Amino acid sequence: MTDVAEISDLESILKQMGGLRGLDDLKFSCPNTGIPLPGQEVQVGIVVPDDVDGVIALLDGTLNSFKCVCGASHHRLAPVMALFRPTGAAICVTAGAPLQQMTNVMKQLGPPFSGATFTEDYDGLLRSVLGWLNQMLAHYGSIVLNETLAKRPRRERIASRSPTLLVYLRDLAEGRWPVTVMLQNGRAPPDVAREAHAALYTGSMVEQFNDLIGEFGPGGLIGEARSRIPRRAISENILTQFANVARKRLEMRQSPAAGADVAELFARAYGAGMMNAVAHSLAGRQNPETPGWAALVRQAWRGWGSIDDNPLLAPAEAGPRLIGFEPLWDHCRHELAAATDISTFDDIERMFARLGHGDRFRAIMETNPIAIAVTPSEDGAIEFERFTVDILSQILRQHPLGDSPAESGHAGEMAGAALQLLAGSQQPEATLRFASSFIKSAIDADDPAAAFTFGTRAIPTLCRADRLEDAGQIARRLTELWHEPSTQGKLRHIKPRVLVSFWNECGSLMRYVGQPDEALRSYEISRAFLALVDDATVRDDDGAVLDRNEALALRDLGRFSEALPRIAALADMRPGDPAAQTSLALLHLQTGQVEQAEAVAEAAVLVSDPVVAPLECAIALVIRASARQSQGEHASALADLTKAMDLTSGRFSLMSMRIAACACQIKSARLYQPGLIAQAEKLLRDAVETGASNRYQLERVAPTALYGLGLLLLNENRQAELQLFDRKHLSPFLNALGEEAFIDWRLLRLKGAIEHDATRSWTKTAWGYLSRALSQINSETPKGRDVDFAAGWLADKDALQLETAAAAIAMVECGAVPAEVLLDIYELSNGRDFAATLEVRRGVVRRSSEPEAFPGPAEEANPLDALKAAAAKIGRDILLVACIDTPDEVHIVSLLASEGACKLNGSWPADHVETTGLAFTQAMESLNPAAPHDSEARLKTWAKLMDEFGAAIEPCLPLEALIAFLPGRRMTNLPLHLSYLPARRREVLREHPVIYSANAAILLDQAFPTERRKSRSLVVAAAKAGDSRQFQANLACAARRIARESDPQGRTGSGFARPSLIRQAQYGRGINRRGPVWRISGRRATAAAVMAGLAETEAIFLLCHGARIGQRKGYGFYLSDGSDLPPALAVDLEVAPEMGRFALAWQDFANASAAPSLIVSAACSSGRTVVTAGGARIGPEAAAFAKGTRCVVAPLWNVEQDAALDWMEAFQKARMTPDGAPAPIWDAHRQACLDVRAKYPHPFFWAPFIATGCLSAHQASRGDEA
Amino acid sequence: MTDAVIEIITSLPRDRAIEAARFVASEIAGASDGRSQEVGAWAAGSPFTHIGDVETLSRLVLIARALSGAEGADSVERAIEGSGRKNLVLGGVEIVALAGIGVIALQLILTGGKLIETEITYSHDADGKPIITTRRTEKELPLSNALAAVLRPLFGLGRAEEQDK
Repeated sequence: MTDVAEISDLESILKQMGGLRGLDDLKFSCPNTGIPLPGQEVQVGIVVPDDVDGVIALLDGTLNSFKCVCGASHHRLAPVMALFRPTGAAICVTAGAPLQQMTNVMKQLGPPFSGATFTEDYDGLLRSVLGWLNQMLAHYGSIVLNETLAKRPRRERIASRSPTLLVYLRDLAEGRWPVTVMLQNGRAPPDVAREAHAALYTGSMVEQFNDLIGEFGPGGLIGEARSRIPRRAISENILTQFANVARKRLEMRQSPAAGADVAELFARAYGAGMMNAVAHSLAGRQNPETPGWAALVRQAWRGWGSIDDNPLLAPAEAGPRLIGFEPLWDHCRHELAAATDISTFDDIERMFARLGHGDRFRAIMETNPIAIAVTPSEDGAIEFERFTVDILSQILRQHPLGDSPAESGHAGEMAGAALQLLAGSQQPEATLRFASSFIKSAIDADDPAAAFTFGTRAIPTLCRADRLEDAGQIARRLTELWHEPSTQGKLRHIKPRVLVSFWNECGSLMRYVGQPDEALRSYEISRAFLALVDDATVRDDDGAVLDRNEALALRDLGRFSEALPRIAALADMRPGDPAAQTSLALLHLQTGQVEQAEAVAEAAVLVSDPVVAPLECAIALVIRASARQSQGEHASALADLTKAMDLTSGRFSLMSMRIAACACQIKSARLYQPGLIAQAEKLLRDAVETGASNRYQLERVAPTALYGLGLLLLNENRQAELQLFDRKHLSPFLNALGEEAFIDWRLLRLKGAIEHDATRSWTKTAWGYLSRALSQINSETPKGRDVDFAAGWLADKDALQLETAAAAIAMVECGAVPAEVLLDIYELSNGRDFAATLEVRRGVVRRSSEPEAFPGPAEEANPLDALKAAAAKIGRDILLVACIDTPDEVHIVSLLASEGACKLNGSWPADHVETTGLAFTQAMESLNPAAPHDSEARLKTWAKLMDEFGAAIEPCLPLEALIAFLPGRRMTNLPLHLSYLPARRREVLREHPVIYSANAAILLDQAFPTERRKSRSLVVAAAKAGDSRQFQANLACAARRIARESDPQGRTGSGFARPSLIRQAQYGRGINRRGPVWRISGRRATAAAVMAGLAETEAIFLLCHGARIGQRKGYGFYLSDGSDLPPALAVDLEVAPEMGRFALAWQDFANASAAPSLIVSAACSSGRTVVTAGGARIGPEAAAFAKGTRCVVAPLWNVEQDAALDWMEAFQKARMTPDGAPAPIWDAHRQACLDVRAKYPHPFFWAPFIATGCLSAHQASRGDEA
Repeated sequence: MTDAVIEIITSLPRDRAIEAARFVASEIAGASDGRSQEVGAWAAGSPFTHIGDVETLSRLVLIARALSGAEGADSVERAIEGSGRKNLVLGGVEIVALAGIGVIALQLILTGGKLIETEITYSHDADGKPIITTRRTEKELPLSNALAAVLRPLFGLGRAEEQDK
């Protein structure tokens, strides 16, 4: 057999023949982007048939085609040797230029090849060259060989240089190779070409499968085949061939000839069945031989199931792809029914679990296990009491407690399996009694290992059976046991993995019941024991599970900025795992990033298997539908829901109900999918009529049905039916629960909307329901199970927030509620995720510092009091101006600290604000810095709005007051500080300092004692490739001056990091820690260096370029990668992830252990925040504030370079007072703007920067003094 | 003078040419921002694949505007002067933006279209109901006959040429 290494020899032979150029000459760049394409990845040889990818690429004409980040595909004209393994024959199939290369080859071969004329049509390479070859060979065949070899000098020359070439020539002559080259275009008869190709190709593939199964065994086949053989390699012919062989082998086994070796027949049938299953799995096709295959699998399990990691069995993760649940279940159900003891059940359960169907098996057993596993008494009744006692005594007899860790583990496992049987029996008391009895027995026997092992199985079983209270009782009892001193002394006798699993299950339970903070604590304990697990594979697997669960708990806590990197990393690591993709899609949906949510959900749909895991697939479809719905793509959303309904209908009732409710949310849905809506309405009506009314959350069928049906009637304006529905179903349902009951906010919103619909105005009753719903969403932001969230949660939340604001405005205007309520509404609708962030930060600080030292806003829960206290602290009055968004309008509410009363100051139509804001943004983006006044005309409308805005707030604005803008949604990213005060004839900022904040929680957040960082600053300066030398010099000077200003003692030079030390920063290993100011610039200014400096500095100045760096990352900074400056053109990171080495996004700050109190950025548009549905905010505040930042100063639009550098210098100069103490940030900000205005009068230059953050930033920026 | 401007335009680096063209195009077709997304759809799917085309379009917009008279030449000079001065790394979004607004601007230049300025005002009537008023101001965009004769046929604008005749 010829070795692959021979490729290089063959290459050198052809080089001698003049056809090949060195690979070094083959470097080339994309003509579109100039980005170099991979140089070392050119494939110069393929081995047939082993290199299936290579063969297919060759046949496709895509070999050595490279895709640039711009999306264009470019073909590298590199020569490729095809080496035919069985004979060692080789052929040069493509060439430096196919025409040139083949000409050279043919010239070497002499006549008739040397005189041949090639066709110019070599599109796709093989098409013409191989077609021509085939023609030649068909004509000349063996004559060529004979003539060639007849001439002695030529023969000797070839023989001495390349014996392989002789073999190749013989193959050509004998017609072996021609079949491979005959497949293209019409030069060969198409039928012959196709047939020859099919025969060769199918044969090669079958041989490949045989080789793999021989080498890696049946168990290893799927893994190896998946890594080597792409789906497109499996043709219909191959599948047919495998299926035929499998069927024949099975028939031979079932009817063996006399004297046949039964074991041999089984092995051959099993091997053929496995190849057939793997081939169908790879092709994504249904295996036609599943019944017989299921019998083989069951028999294989009986023979080898007890052996761990048996190479003959399929690995667990691949099980569902090789054997479906249904055929296996059909095969085993009779065996289960006939079983007389639990060991059969246990064996079958282990088999299902091993083959990846554990959940489905348990689900079935939980729905009707007793009928299967327990033989009823003569009168048909089952004595559960006796059954539990019998089972318990049998377990304890077989595995005595307290004997050994192994026996304890077995006993716990067995008891867990028995509990599974009982869990679905509709006998909750018997189940719980069984659990209590076993735990008591374990405690009596002083055997905590058995108890915790039991817990690891019992808790998830009961959760799946929707018996969270029972699961909670068991968890509580075992937690008490955990804390007992005697247990603590025995922990070292318990397998660490048991404790890892137990605390992980406890965490998941806590998450299900809506206590994600408790869940995190459980996961923390679990992780502590993970370190003790010896088996590295198990440790990695369990670690991955914990990573995911912790990330989900963080998500449920609203700590999105911390959850996102983890969940995204998991999704990247496991692209084929639908659950990982689903989690990420949900998080995007939850934070309102609907486009990303759709893209990730799309991936989840693609990798989920509708046959093996229909529920998983349905969830992915529902998430995608929600994302599409949020983008207004109703038709495609409904198409997704229709598919999801098809998958779940009649099998998963609650999921079907959710899908129905989700479909009913879409207005005019009946026009797009009348069938789906008719089906949904019937489902919902049936459930409303018959459902139990004692459940009040949408985790249950009845309230989900109520909600869906109500929405449908409301959206279709069926008023008479709606009123009837309200009287007959919704109101009685709510009344039965009472005022104090916890009712899902969606039902309350529905009730409020029905009230509004009845009177066509906002009434006090409607307001009552909506305000109750909104306060509930505040405390109940999605928890637990993902599907709850997916079913239109975000659209509901967004609608609720806007509707409630409208109702509140109406109530304030008629005097029914005080205006202060509007501030509460603002808080609940804007940047709620920050509140969670602040809570966490406080929690961390509390643990690490003295509790009494923490002032915290909790002491001043009332925002009015907090604002007054803040005003007193900073020594000036504060006017808080909040923009409240309703569905149709934007209202201004103001609150002056010294007066302590809220006022409604004015309103604008929402459309007008949106249009004007968009026009302003577009005008600023395309404004020419050399002619700013050319854009005046486009800014007129904006200026008018700002005039009106200024006129609205001026009456409340005392002299020298600090203005704090809470811009809401539609006004975010607009420079409200440019609003014009008519009486004072100036822009606001020229008269008053201004600060922005996402909401009052951030604005009024108090300074707290951070770790004792010294008052250090980090100045980062990075130009981009192509920047003028003048600008680079200006940048360097500005960085030096800012660094000098930052050092109160004026220490320069030696205090800065030396280049040799700074060099370390390129690799993120740290930066020079000498001196009060660190400065990194040019190629040393890498993202890693910035990240390394974040935790150790009090202020950071980023003098670099900004760019949109991909949808997932939003705005960010462009820095060096350590060897090059960032390119002149930015590339979307989703298209070119490798360009991430130049990028630092705001969200990356979430990965730092801490962030500086003050971040000042000159990067274009880096101060912009993306406000998504539901009021979540993505941008500077989201990530940095979570890590301790108090204020971010950054521009709202693309700044002019020199003006921006001037501004940064002026800001730092104004910030550092002569006595060394920093001035308040808002004063420094205003002063810098005024200074720059003197040189550049147009606001484009002097007004882009805004300070966003907390009033306490004033204190925090003083570093050590905080 | 004109030759010098054209020489500068042709020798501008790619990123500066795109940025300068965006300034000019926005000046001409700023009021058509709403339509630019639709017109620029040809480049939206994979902007970097079309970067060569967008670069050509940019230079074409600049040249056409520079040849349209003294005012146009001034405008182009200012645009070139202002390009490369923003602290931004141009990316796909900017490329797509020019792909749309650049085509609209070129159409306007070649058809002797109009510069349109739109002003929206918001007020209340006596009953307190909101009134939104939109005012459009149009200004002729000049194009030299010589340039029109050369460029219009290239862009399938023969009808406009015939009308001129």
